[in-house]
Amino acid sequence: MGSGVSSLLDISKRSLFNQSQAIRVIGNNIANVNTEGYSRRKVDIKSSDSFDTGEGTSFGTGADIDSVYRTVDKFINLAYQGRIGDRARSEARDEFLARLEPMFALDGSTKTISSELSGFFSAIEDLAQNPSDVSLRRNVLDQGQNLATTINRVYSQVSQLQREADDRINYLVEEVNRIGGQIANLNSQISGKEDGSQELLTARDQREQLVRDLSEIMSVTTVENSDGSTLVTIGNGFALVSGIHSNALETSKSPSFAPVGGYPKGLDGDALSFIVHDFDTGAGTSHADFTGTIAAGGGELGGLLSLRGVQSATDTTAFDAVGDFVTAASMVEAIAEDLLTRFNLSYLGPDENGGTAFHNPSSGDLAGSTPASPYSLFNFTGAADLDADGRPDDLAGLRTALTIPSFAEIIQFGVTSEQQLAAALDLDPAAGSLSFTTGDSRNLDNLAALRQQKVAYSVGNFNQTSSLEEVYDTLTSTVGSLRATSKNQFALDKDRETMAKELYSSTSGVSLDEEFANLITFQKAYEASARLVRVGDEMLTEVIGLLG
Amino acid sequence: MSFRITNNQSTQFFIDQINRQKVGLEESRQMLSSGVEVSTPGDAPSKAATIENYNRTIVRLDAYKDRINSGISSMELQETVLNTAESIMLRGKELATQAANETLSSEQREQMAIEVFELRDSLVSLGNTKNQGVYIYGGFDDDDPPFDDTPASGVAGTPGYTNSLGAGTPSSQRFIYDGEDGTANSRDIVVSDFESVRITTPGDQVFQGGISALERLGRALSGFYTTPASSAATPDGGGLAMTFPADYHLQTQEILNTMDAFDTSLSKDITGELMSVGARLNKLHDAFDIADSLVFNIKNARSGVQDVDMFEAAANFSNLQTSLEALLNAGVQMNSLSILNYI
Repeated sequence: MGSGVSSLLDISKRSLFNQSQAIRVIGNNIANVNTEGYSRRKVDIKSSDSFDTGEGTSFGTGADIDSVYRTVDKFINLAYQGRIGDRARSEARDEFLARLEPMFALDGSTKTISSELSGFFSAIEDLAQNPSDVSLRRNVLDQGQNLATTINRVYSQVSQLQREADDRINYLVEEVNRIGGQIANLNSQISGKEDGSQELLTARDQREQLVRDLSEIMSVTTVENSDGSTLVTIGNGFALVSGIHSNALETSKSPSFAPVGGYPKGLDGDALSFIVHDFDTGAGTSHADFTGTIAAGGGELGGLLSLRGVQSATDTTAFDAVGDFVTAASMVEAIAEDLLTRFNLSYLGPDENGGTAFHNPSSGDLAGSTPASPYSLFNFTGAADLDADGRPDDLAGLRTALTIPSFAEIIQFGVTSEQQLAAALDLDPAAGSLSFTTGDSRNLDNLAALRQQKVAYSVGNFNQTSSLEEVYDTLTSTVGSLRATSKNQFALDKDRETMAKELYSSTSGVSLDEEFANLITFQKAYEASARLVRVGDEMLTEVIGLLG
Repeated sequence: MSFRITNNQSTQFFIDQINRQKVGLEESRQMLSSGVEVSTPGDAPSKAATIENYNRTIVRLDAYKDRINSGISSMELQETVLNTAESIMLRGKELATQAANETLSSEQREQMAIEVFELRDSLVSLGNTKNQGVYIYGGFDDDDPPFDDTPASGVAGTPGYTNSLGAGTPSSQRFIYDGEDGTANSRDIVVSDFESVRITTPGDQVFQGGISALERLGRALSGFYTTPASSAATPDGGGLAMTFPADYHLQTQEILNTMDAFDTSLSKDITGELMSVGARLNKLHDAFDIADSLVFNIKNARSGVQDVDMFEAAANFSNLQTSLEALLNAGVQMNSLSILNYI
């Protein structure tokens, strides 16, 4: 019976320890209620092995703490991680598109390319009524300059957004490497040492949080190895973190896989970054390209790359890349190129010599002079008639020859004085002799008629047969639907992330109400265990009294 | 496992919901204050191109209206000019009829020539009428008057604009349409996307016949034959002097000869042009009415696509306001619930 009392004391002593440990875990949970990435701990108390008397009876020997564990659900975690990536992608897209959209305002709050085109054509048609009126001529000059500057402004804003996205991509890749290094570091703490200690539980929480941080930047796949380390890979199987090693990604503007002559520059004339991994071929460093893979995935990088554009080896201009900013810029470029070619050619008037190899202008200004260059109405710095045929050149060829990234960025109105505007057409039917009169506006009439004409436009991936103004309509609808989609997608992805987070919190988060209820339970159990000690003590005292 | 709601979750719910309501409220407020539902293309991408098209069409139609108005004012001026020209020609014909009467002496006839030449000068100045700085009857040539008695400078082979006889008197003045480059053209204005209306007629078609007729009459009354002999032709600067009284009957014949020219000028040139101006003026008025009603309709259509239905927006706004208040109340009460209050 004596062994019974001491076993009672042993049971109650261990119970006291168990309950106080459980209360300590509850305390830790409460302390971490606001800690990002903290998973609620639970104490697993198990009944101890029973004592067999050998006479068919067995007695229990109390309880022990089996483990302290994190309440996590791997699948819920994975789903949450995926939703974070989706949300980060659409958030980045929406943020940048929201900045693109105001340039295409419909309520007249901003000067748009469309309103400037209307202004320019109206000015030309007004002047056509009285072509020698100097104030109407001034108006055409002003409207022409406004149109050119608005095209410059809209284009350079798009190209700036592309550059900003590119800069941010460079920064994010650094972040990826930093997080990769930290995950590898935590892997080295965890792998092979799984003993349920508080320290390792915290390391696991931290590692899960880092993976979530990484998912916010780009899509990753994680697999837990048998030694407890996490393998982090991206799209096509490249291991970003494997065991205790992390493999760095880099950004390169001239990667080793670039085609001969390099990739075309970005919209602003500077090169765009590729996301690569350096590897040693034995004969030097080579690059593995992950740009396309990352662009197709989630995370902020996916969103930014899909806007900025991804280049391929067959690209010849900045407009061939596949990306939303590039699409928008291509349409602005199409408008600028049309003004520089079709409008300039029409401005020269029909060929005075009846379609000879060299186009002799048949339009004249107030002084009776013909336009001096094929780029007289609209021009740009460095404008040249490379094939010397008197017509505006094929701009694709000129772009390469002059290494001009875009004409939309540099187009300007070519007529600088009222007198210089060529409104008249030749009145003398004989080839080679010109006669102009100041009241003639036929050249302006021809110019104004161009706005209704449908022609084929093709810049980069943009192809359309329409009138000039309809190109702008397409541009507006494209930007509009991009923005509307990004806005809706962001709202949807945010909701889905919230739902995933709720599920995650529901599993791993700390509820104060629950912790307090548990606290009372363990507190009462502690009191009961203490009472047991007293009972054991009294029993022992009683027995010792008998001996005395 | 039952669904657990942690404290952080319920706080986060609360914050998210407040944010969402506030964004909705702000959007609704903006719509109410601007009256515009679609202000950026992202608000309604499918409508963006339509709105752009409406905006442009309105600008274009307004420009048509302005141009039609200036066309109308030019045509109304032409109507006045032609009416005056008509009365000048009627007076000229009247004088010719009077002068043909052989009760008048050749001296009396010469007195009448003064008025005839004045009528001619008036008709010349009508032919040189300017509207907004531009000669109406000069075609594209707007740097010098279309009817002139001085030769155009620098035009080779142009004869001096004088008649050979009667030097120093109005008889020697010969007014002809200057015929420089561009004077044969007429000005059109575009009144719609598909239609343009001619607003001027080259002056030779309207006034040359009348001027020549008056010139011939004046010269006949002053005692000169004019060549070529046909009264329908524009004087070429040549002629002969009459001697009186031997040529008195011939003078009467020369005066009578001009009558046909007066008739042609009146019925064909001036009245014809007057009718044509009237028809074109009607066309312009019609085009203006069409453009005006199109602008009205398109503005209506644009408003239907782009503007806010104020009643709906106001109702929406107050709806959102009420639900935000309810949310704030419920949220505060929800978050004040804690087991700590009961332990």
